[in-house]
Amino acid sequence: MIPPMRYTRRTLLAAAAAAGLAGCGGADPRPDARRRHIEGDPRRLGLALAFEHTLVAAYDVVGELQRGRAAREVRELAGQEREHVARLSELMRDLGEEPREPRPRDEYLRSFPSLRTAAEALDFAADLEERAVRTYLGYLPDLSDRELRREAVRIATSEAQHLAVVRDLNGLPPAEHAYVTGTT
Amino acid sequence: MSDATVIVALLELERRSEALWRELPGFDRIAEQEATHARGLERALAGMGRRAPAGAPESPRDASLETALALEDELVRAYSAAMRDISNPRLLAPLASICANHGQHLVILRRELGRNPITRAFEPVE
Repeated sequence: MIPPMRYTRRTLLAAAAAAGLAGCGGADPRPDARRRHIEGDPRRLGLALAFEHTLVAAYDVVGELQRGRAAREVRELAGQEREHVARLSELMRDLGEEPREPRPRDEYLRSFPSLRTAAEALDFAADLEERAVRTYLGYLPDLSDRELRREAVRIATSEAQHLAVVRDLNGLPPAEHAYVTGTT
Repeated sequence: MSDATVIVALLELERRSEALWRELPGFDRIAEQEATHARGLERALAGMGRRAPAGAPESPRDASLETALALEDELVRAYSAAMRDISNPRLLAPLASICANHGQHLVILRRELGRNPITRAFEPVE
């Protein structure tokens, strides 16, 4: 007898990502939809930039609770998030938009959970990285410019790598799933 | 370049990568992830009314972590380039989620090789 498959939220979401590949047979959006996409690119970049500012602030806090190798690697992650900020800011200026500065540090700190241990801090970082991947993947179909899509995937891939690092530092499998959707 | 052409090229890389990982002891999880990617790409081709190319890749002559590192790097570049080449927007997020996984494989490999796992903020692209 074949045992029934156990469906968890994770397997259903991964199946949806895989099904996303199988169900693709449609054409490009109509011209009016494309215009709305082009006008939306700066807004999406601005939202992504806002989240990168959050990641920078978060890694400063996460790093304070780490020691040794974990501290070094979290510092490196923080530096790379700053590079994401710089790149997104550059892309926004290319589109004629002035990128927003980060909020005051205290505002970020008030929004973060209370973190008491290194493991809790790394868990928090992993949650944020999942959200970052989810954000960039969510924007992809609506980005009108193909070069912007490539930039979004480059940053999403970097965030997925950060996720792998913080999971590894926390004693977890670094690459848990074949489709990194940010929806655990 | 058609979407099908892009997908076929990615599929060939995934099959090569799966064959390589299966030669490396202790990396079954990653080999299975490559196999999952390949199945997804095959389904994408079926959705376009195309049949995936038949045949399994040859066993790699040099099955080493360095070879795996080079191939995973090639995969990230290929998926990144696909973001420019793919026309159907509904393919983008699934392909990007696979690219992200290959980025994670690079982290694992660099650690195995005793290197900095996160050498740069952006992996090189075509």
